[in-house]
Amino acid sequence: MAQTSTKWVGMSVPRKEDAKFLTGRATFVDDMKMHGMLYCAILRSPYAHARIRKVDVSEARKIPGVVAIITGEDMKGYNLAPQAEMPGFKFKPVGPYAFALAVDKVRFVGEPVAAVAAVDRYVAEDALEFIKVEYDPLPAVVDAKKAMEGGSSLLYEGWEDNIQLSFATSAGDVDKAFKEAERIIKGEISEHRYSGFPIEGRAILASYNPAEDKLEVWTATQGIFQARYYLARTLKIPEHKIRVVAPNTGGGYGNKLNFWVEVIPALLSIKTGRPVKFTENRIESLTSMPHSRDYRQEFEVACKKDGTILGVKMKMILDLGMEGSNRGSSVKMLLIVNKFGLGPYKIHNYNFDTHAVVTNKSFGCAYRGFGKDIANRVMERIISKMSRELDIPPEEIRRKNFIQPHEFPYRQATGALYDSGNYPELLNRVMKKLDLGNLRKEKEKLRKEGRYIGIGLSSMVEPAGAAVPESVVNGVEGANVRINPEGGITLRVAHTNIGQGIETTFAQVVADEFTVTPDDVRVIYGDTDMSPFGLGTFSSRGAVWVVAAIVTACRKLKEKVLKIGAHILKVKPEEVELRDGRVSVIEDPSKSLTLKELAGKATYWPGPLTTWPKDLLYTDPGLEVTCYWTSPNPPTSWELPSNIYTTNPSSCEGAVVEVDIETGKVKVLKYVVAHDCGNVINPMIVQNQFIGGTMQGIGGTLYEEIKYDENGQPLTTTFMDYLMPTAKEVPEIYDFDSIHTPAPFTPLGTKGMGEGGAMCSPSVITHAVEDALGLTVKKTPLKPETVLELVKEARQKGLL
Amino acid sequence: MTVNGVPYMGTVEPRTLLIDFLRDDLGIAGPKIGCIEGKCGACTVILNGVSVLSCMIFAVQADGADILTVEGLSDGSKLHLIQEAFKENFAVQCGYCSPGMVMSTYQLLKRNLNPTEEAIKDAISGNLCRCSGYLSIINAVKDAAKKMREQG
Amino acid sequence: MRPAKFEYFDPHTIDEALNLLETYGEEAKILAGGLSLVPTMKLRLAVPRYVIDITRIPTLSYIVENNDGGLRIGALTTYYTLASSPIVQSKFPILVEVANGLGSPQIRNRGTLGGNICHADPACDFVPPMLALNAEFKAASSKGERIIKSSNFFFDFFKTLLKPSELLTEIRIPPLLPKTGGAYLKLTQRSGDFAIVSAAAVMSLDQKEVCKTISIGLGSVGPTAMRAEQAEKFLLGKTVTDKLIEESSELATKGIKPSSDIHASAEYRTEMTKVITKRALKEAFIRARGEK
Repeated sequence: MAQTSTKWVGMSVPRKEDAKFLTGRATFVDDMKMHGMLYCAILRSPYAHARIRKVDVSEARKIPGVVAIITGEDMKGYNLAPQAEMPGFKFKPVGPYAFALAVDKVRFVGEPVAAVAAVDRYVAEDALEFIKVEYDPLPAVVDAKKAMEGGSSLLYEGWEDNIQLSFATSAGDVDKAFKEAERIIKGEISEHRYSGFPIEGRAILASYNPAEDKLEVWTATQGIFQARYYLARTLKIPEHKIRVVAPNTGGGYGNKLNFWVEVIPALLSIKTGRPVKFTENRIESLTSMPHSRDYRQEFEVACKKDGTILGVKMKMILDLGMEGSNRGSSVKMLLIVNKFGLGPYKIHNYNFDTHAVVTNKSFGCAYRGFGKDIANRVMERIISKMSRELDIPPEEIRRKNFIQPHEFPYRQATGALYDSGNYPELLNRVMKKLDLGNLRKEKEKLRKEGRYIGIGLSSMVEPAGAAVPESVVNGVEGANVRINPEGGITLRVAHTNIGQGIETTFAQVVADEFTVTPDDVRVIYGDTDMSPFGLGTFSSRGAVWVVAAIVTACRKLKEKVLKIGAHILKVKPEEVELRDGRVSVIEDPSKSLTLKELAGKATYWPGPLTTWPKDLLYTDPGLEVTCYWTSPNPPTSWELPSNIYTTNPSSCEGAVVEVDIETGKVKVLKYVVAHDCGNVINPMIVQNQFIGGTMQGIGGTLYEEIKYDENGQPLTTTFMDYLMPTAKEVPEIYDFDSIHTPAPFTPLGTKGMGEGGAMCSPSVITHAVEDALGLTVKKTPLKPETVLELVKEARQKGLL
Repeated sequence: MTVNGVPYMGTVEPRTLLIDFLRDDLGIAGPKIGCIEGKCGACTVILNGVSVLSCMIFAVQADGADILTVEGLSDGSKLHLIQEAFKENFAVQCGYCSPGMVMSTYQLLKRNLNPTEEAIKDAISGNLCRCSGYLSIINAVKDAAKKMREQG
Repeated sequence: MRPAKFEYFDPHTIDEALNLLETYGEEAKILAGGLSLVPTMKLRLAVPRYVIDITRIPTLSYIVENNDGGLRIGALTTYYTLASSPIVQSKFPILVEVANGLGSPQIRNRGTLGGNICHADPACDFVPPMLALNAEFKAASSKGERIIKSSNFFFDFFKTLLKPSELLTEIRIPPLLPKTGGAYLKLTQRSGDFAIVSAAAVMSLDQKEVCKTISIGLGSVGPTAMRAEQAEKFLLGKTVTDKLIEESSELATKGIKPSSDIHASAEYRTEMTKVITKRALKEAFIRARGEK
């Protein structure tokens, strides 16, 4: 059957969903209102670490308008279901201690202790002031290094220390590499704590109907089926009695890929038999949304004098906050760092020794990277230091060590399988955009005038389409496609809309398969009652897995359509084709049916008995197909070495910054990107998501920092303390370019790109500041005061 | 108060915030709550002709006021020129900040139909966006200004 | 993050407001733009029993140029009104600079000069310029009025000389000499944030570029904004040069008591006081000379 050429995939089709967002007519969870709805407010722990002696809600219950109050007592038996199970990966369990409302102990400031359901938000908050909780404070564990060393107070009494997981991998002969090295270069980097904080916080509307024994939950989430699964396991309700819907989610970036807050309004709804809405305020968000980054790495590289890397050693301590396995799943980040810490480089000898500790801070979880960002830092920090100590331009070191284009698919020493790419070409493009040779001359000239600019470079691999054997994260993705008798095609998927434009991009894919337009396709998403199973919106699974399921489903349905069309037109199936939305006889295009005509005839009148060929009629007479897809790339068993992602988008990025050496302020003058995410469905959607990520990375490096004091008290609790970039912080010039090396393991060659923007930009900016001052950065953020310290150090060393 | 041309009446406690009155009492959910502290701009509406943060104003303070929210610019079937410009420039991703961004753009263009890039960045500096990195939005505002100049 | 209950009044005249203050003073808070008060009420850090909303008093918003060239500004004048006033733009451009560097349009449409001053946050943008301009404030109560010099007005974090029964009604700015230049600079992480440190410099020159008058107001350098008196003394009467400005800026740190917070340490603030003062003085000098 002839395939008409791609028309929509690859085009920057303006987004179908924009009108509803721009006119305020898109429904987010907090926009929803139901009859009898109650509002939930949560009382949270003011201590970082304490035993709960007593919770007294008697006074609060008397306040008019308060309908129900729950505490840890009501949560007993409802341990939070584990989210990071992986048999090959032994971490200490948190399950016995983890509840949505603390039962006998609190482990971070902001941990929920009691929850009120009242007739409006104001009364609910009033009631909180009347709940009396008696705590016995315990010493807080705040420093990850101390948590690692032992002797600090234990967060989990059943554990012998505060290390949730240690995970080390190696390959080749590292000792030999270091013996043979012409140079050994050491360094360290401490990256601070920051996170995504989408403008919409967590919002949940839970509605239990006792008459139906059914629980419906509308939630701002990134995974409806995971949300349902964990809710069912936690509350011990059979899953078929729960429906989870994500109407529209106001930003995710991974911060809404954790599943525990829903339990609170759900339990209140079950107790009251009324809908209960919980909308997190910004203080709650900044203190109890998942935090990210916050690790310290020490690295050593064995290399030749010409920059060839012989071997790498790295030790890392990651601060998980109070846990990494039952609210989110950040323990997995150690696996990811181990898998991708070698980046886009050919290194055969390595040893990574990584540890994840628990401390009395908010739990760690996903934020654009989920460990792949940390993985990027390993080699990028090493190369930056190598370039200064060996006096070799950093781009030369990269070139010398890159995996070459002809070597794909490339099995990295860590077991990861990189599907395709062209790292040297990306580097070439960035160097050209920066006009690197002349720019460096300009830099020297400006120095003489007392102005200090720096040029930063970084190369990145962004593994996408996660699939880890024997873990929760290898679930299939499904798609259901149906052709409607009175016009149009409906696509149903489990995916959630977090800003990636799925109403448009998925419609583009379907439109191409059926030779119609995106307007002829409606995408229905985010509802467990309607969607086929899918694991969720993370790790770019949309472009990789969901698109693959959509394409497979479309092609199966198209086969049926052609058979029916041929049957109606009284020719053989091989004599018809689908073209311009019509099933036409190839030799005589005047004999054709539109999809609408075909569907009308095949569904209603004259009906399936006369229009469907007999073989299909008695086996599968539905004008719809549901298909599930899994990637052929990761293996089906857990063993080392093994791969855990389907595709490998990549980039090279560069920046020009100016450092004000009197104040330490850093200004980003120019930012350039050469990007490769394989074949692209909608180029403008890709570009703008990437830019958003870049700004998150710039924000994370220069302005944003989550801080706790030595008692575990959060110091950054409002947007006055936690500074996210505004429009005034964008680089003066931003240049985005792309190449496309198709993905060999996905039907359309798409790779996805959702996380990359935020993963690499911190490395680029850090390198640029180093280039401006001539020395190595050992810790972030690069706030003015910190940079001024670096300026002084550079002066002392005679570099300025 | 009048909201998007429709007169409303309500009885509220003095402490009821304007944003809550609009969203919960009147069902006008375009303006969003992003931070409740006046730092994100998602709640931006036009009150008596100027853009304000409706989470920082008590509903009683707006007694007798004339309020315009994003719903008042279009019902969705035919977009306002500003909204059109946002769509054509791919300036929307998750959409949560969009109503506030549109209203800040409306305020800017009401005062200055030929803004410089500096002026545009300043005009939306009180509206946080985490998805877009702002560049597409800046382009959208430039385009909206052009469209509105051409319309006259 | 919703406020606790309170009783609300919205007087329509100054006298009504003053009578309310007389009755409820200690337990009442004045509500103007709300940008400082409302957040603290939402956090329930401020739980006033009474809130007196003065935004419906039209006679509190005005900008009038006196015959001698000075200004009288009503306390409810918004930052936007200030910045877009032709009088202010031509006669006191430093105030325009302050207003436009503050927050965002939504903030400027609502924030009031009186509110900014009475909040008395040492990082408040208008206070250093008020000190540098030798402003005076009119405080009214049901018992009468008094004028308070800005140099006396602020005495601690968030504390001013205003009595609970008093309302700030007017800000008076004396006329400037010819060949005067003013500049306001603040060091922030992001544009529009609260200042890490700030400096307002107002300098007038004689024909020979000798510094005739100089005042430097510093913000975020202690519990209140303050004048850099030693730095001023050093400049006064001397021919202004870049070198002189640098030396003067070194003295700007005398007497400051900055604190450490999550944005900056006291040490950094001290060092930056010199840098920002120097930059503000250089700019004020350029403007006093009539250059741009």
